[in-house]
Amino acid sequence: MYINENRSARTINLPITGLKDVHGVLQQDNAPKDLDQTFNTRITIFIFAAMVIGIMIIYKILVIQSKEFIEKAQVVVDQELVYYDQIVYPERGKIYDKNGYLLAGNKTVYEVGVNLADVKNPTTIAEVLSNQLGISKDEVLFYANINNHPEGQRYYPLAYSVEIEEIQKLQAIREAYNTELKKSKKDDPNAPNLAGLTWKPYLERNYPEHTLASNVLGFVNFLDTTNGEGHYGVEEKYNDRLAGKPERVKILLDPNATNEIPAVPAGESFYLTIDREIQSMTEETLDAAVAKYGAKSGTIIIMDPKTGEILAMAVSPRRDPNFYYEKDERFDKKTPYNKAISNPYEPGSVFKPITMAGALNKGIVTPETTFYDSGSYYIGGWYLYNWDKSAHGEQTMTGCLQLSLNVCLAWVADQMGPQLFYDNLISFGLNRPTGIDLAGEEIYPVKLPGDKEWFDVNLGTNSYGQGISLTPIQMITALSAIANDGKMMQPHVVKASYFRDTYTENTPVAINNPISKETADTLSEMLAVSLEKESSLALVPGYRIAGKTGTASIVNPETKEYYEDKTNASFVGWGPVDDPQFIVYVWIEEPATGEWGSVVAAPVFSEVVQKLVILLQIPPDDIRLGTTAINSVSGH
Amino acid sequence: MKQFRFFKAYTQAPWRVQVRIASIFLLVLIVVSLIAGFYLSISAQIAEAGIDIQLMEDQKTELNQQIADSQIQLAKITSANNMAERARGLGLNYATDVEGVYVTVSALQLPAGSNQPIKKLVSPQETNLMKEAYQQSLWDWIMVNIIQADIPLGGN
Repeated sequence: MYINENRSARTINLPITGLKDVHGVLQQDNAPKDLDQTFNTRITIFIFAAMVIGIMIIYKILVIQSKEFIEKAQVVVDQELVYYDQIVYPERGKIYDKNGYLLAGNKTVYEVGVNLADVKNPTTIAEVLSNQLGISKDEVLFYANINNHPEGQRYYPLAYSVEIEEIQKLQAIREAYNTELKKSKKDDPNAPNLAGLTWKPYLERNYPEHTLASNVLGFVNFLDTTNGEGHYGVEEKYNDRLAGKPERVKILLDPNATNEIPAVPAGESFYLTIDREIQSMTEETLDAAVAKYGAKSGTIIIMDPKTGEILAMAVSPRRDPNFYYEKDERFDKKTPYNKAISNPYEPGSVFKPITMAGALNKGIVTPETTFYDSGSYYIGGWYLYNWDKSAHGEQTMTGCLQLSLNVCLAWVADQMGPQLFYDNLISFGLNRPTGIDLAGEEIYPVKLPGDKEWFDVNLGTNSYGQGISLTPIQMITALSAIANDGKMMQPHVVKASYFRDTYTENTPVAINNPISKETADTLSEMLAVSLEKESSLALVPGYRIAGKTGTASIVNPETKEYYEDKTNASFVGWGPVDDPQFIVYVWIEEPATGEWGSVVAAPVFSEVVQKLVILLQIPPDDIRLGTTAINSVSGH
Repeated sequence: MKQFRFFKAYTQAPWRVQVRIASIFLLVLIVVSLIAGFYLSISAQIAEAGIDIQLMEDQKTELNQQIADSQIQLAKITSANNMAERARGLGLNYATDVEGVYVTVSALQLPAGSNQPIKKLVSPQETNLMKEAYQQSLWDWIMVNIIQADIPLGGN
């Protein structure tokens, strides 16, 4: 019998049995034992394998039954040990004027709070914050105590919107206390100590020009640090685009696994059509006029009639959006934030060009058509009168506009008939919002034939701008068609936007073509001649201007009758007549000294335009048209 | 026929066996220690770089805030009101139509549209600043830089 060589080699090293192996005796005797041992080994392996498989099955059953728990546990472990989620809010987009001057940006302010576990002396913190930031001492004492917070809370904010100057003072006080603590070397719990007091910077909306164009910009309620959003104007209209998209990012706690925090792009920035210099000049002139005439408020809009771009939109009073939260006596709750777009009023005679435009466009009248003014006109069961209660005899249509005769325009509207008259009004877009890209536009519904509150007399009164309420933006948009060859452009304040290196310029959009170019030219000429014959205070030396005054009565909301002593003074004008580059609308509400548009609003228009033509670099007509020789310089 | 088998009739001295085992163990220990040390060194560098990244992220945030804040400060200093006051302080006032002097400049090309071109913002290119090596384990690094580097990519 052959023996297993390996086995013998193992046994040969045994000191006692080594010699016996060579005789082959012991191998024969050991054979059954080897078989048993092999069997036992196999059984052991089998049992072990069965146990492993069994344990795996049990484990799997447990995993299946408690999968949710394990997942939650994993999340907790991950969050506590591996990473934490943080929502990164992008910097809010900026707002610039058309030349790149910053109108709304973001400045650094600080949030002051306490790391509760690190607070050593809450009294010191309370005293210092009370003195420096004006926070209630008791409040700080309460919140700086860790026992007054839910378990696990580590931090509590005490103040927001703290300026850097205040932080520098806090820093100096803390350093002084720390120096004292080091000197004393005693662990005195009552020693002044600002341990636990902390601050961190963040960006807050700011308006460096303060009240300038604040009615256009709107504001962000930045004191609400979590839900702050735009209100009114551009800030509200474009809130989502300005705010950008917050992103949730994982901040890895393990330095080995640290990665770049994904760059969260800032919100979209906007360039406005507003020109800072023109806006500033307009507001300055308006404020002076409101003060001079003791008016309740004032509004001036300057628009480029060819594009619909708003170059300036001034209202008085205005608010400083940096202090939107403060009460302002001049600005009560009833005062619209931007009267130019959200305060409908009866415009009066500035409406007459719209009536005349419709009649000229339909060929119902021509500039030479005559009308005999007897001083009153009977329509719908009522007599309507002129503003001066006088009769002016035979007048051409140009004369009617020059003298602003109500009875004449009522006759024109009567000649048109309700259908044509209101179709004309609708084609000028006066029954709907203009769609200007500002939040807060409001309109007063125009009463049309068939409406419950419409009467036949409305045709007469509406023809000269009474019994119909319109906002200044509706008026200037409609009238701009006369200054732009009959084409009405969409009014807008955003010229371009900028996002992620992409600069997108808005294209001007035409809304409607209510009248023909011929009608527009004819009416412009009629209005220019009217001003010249009238020697209007609206005239601008060197520039030919077309325009119309307006003086409107105001309804007493309680008696529903017109006040005897309150008016709205308005003026609309554009120029130069041969190539209009601006249209200006002026509304002075309830002037105390002087009630007529020709006395109050017309000079304001003239003053604005005299400065405007210089800012827009529009030479006087004789120079621009080459009718006067001027110096000549060669250049390239 | 009977076969004879021969066996080694001696064995190594126990101390030699022990020395050999100890040597092999020490050799393995040294190799493992070297690898561990190398790995530890790389890990430490990665950790240090990771902390640097975190600090730089904070710096980046702070710088962005400073830039935004500086823009506001600059805008306040050059605001329309401030500039008007400075102008008035210098004895200037609004030009009137009679003070305006117009000259014709032949062949002058004005920019289309607005008289004053819009200032465009410039922002730095956003690039991934993190080197790939900082995101690799030692094993990844060996695979990419040593083993796979030797694999020909093909082509002529």
